[in-house]
Amino acid sequence: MSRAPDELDAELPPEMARGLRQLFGRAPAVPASLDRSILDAARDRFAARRRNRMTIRWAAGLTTAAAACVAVALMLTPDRRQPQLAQTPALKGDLDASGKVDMVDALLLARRIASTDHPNPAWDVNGDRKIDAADADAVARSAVALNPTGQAAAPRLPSFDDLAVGNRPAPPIPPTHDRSVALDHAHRLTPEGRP
Amino acid sequence: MSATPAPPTDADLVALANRGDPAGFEGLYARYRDWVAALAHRFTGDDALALDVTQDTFMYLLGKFPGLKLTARMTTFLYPAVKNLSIAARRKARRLSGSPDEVLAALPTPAAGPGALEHQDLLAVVAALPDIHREVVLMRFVDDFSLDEIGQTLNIPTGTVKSRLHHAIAALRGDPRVRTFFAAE
Repeated sequence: MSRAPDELDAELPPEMARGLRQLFGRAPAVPASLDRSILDAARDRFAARRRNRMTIRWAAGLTTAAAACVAVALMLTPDRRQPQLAQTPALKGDLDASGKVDMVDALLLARRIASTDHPNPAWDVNGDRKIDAADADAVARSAVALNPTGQAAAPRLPSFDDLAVGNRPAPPIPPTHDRSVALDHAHRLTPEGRP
Repeated sequence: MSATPAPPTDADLVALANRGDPAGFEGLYARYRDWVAALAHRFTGDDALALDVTQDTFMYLLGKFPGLKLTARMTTFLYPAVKNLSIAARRKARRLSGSPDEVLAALPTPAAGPGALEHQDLLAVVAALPDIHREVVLMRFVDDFSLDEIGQTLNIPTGTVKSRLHHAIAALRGDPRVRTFFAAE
């Protein structure tokens, strides 16, 4: 029985196909140790995932319960510090009226600014007529610059503004006659490649 | 007399493994271990490397759970993994460099298993085929891939698969060393 040319070209004689399977279809003997290794790894991984799922569920439940307790406690406990924050502090930046400007004030201010839509004008510590994270930064800088007596401590820690790219002092270009090295170094002074 | 229940499909086993039941993965391993090992041997030409690749392939499959979405046959999914892992293994074992095709082509002949002596002529003729033609012939007649599955696995159009298969079979048909296979037609 003759077949169309297309059919002939898409099939092989059964004996040839069988020969190919004998040549290329037989696997090397797989040792039992390899089976054990793979299946043990699989069981361990599935068991670990089960444990992780249970831990996550337990932790999520515990976190939810803890958050609920904290929320209830906050609702029931009056915030004694709030009235002091509403007052204009005698020492600029001393948000908690502790008599000194410290990192507690900076953190307190940052948190309060982030959590309210009606900030207290007294929180404009840096005097830029805006109440934002820059005011908390200003308190933080003050905290590390002043000791309790108001005298400046030395040395002053650099602020984020000081470390901004455009304000960094350019390192000296090494003395070299190799212009390519000097140019390459210049490219490293700022990300934009400007000296 | 109760009928024997049908064996689980690949989709059933994948679903089981996605739900966290190791029995799903174990079923897939039992079903495809030998095929993966044979394919790895074809690509690496070495028993030890083939077993390493087999292990790596199933570790790769294990890492896909949960979340594996099987949109084709498992062999279609595993074929590229076995091939790429085999190339990497050969490269590492023999410090070969070059493209994946160059690494595969560095095999003197396609690695044949037992039966090579009996089918020496067939082996020589198949070895003489261009790599891209030989691959589709073996995928079609040894791995039992359909033309569409070959195209999907190799990321080539089905028309290209047909063309390569046509040229490969024409070359086999025209080689006097294997004429006896075609004599009955």
